[in-house]
Amino acid sequence: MGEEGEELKLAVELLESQKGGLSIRIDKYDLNYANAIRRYIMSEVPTLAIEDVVVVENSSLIYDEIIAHRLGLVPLKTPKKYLEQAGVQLMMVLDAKAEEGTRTVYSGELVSVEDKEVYPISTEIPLLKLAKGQSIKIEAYARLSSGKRHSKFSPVSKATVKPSPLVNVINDSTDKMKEIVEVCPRNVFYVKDGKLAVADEDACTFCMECIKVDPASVEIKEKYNSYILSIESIGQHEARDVLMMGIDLIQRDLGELMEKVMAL
Amino acid sequence: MLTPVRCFSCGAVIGDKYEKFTMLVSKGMEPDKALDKLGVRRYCCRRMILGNFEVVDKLLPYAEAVEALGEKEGS
Repeated sequence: MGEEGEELKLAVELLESQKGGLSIRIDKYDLNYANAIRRYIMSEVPTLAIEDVVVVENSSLIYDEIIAHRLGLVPLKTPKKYLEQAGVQLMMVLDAKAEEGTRTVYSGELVSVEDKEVYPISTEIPLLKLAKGQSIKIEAYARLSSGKRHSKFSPVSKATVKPSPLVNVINDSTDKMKEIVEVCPRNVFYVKDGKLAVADEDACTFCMECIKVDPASVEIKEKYNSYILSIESIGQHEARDVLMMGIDLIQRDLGELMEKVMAL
Repeated sequence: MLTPVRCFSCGAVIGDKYEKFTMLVSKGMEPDKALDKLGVRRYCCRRMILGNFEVVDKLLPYAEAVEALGEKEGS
């Protein structure tokens, strides 16, 4: 919790919201809670992915198991209506034949039979290659599960929590300023009118390379109880929805615990 | 054999980027610039594409030869 006398008011700031990516700063919040959100996002938010594969026909060079594994990794758009249906099973079909010559079978050819709202997010993932005359016929079953079962169900690739960096330039006319600018892998510093300045404080990853160059001129600290939570959605859900679902699931689980404790 | 569908470390989809990458590089673009253009920023994902070799392409000619011989069953 906050320092003595400090107002305990939570503040959230949106730092970055790109296609598929989201980065927020949470002020006056504990690392434990911010990390709990991150871990819930990674391992609890449910998504659809192919879990069972029936190989009807495969005359390609690639083994059945490898194709099944690759199919499982293809991310599928997960409509919200399935989120509460734990045992949902949707059939998808892959039927391809190389008639004219060698060709690549892409994830776009994997089609849902039961619901057109479930489709591979990227249609250009190569699944296998067929030589002329070869063919493949597969029935695949998509199921709903979460990242703790298999990471293919995880809705995010990057999910990080780091403290908000505080980058201070103590001596802005140091003779090592060019080296400091060059050594920083995240381009935190730049030279403005012959003086060292901070360009992007939040980009700092606490690698301390700048401190090694000139310990007297720059100072890097962590801001007290302020954390940057960044996630990058794979595409099953929107990044914003993933964050909200993560928080929602913590509340659900805590509510369940509450009920159990009350029943004691 | 084939391009991995996901990055081994972070799980981001990179399978759909290998073909685009090879196309850009064959046009004379530097590999690092090509990866930047494709939006592959983390080094875990970058090594997936940089270190990939499509072994299937070496095996497919055999399957094609079998087909050319008129054997319907393939491999």
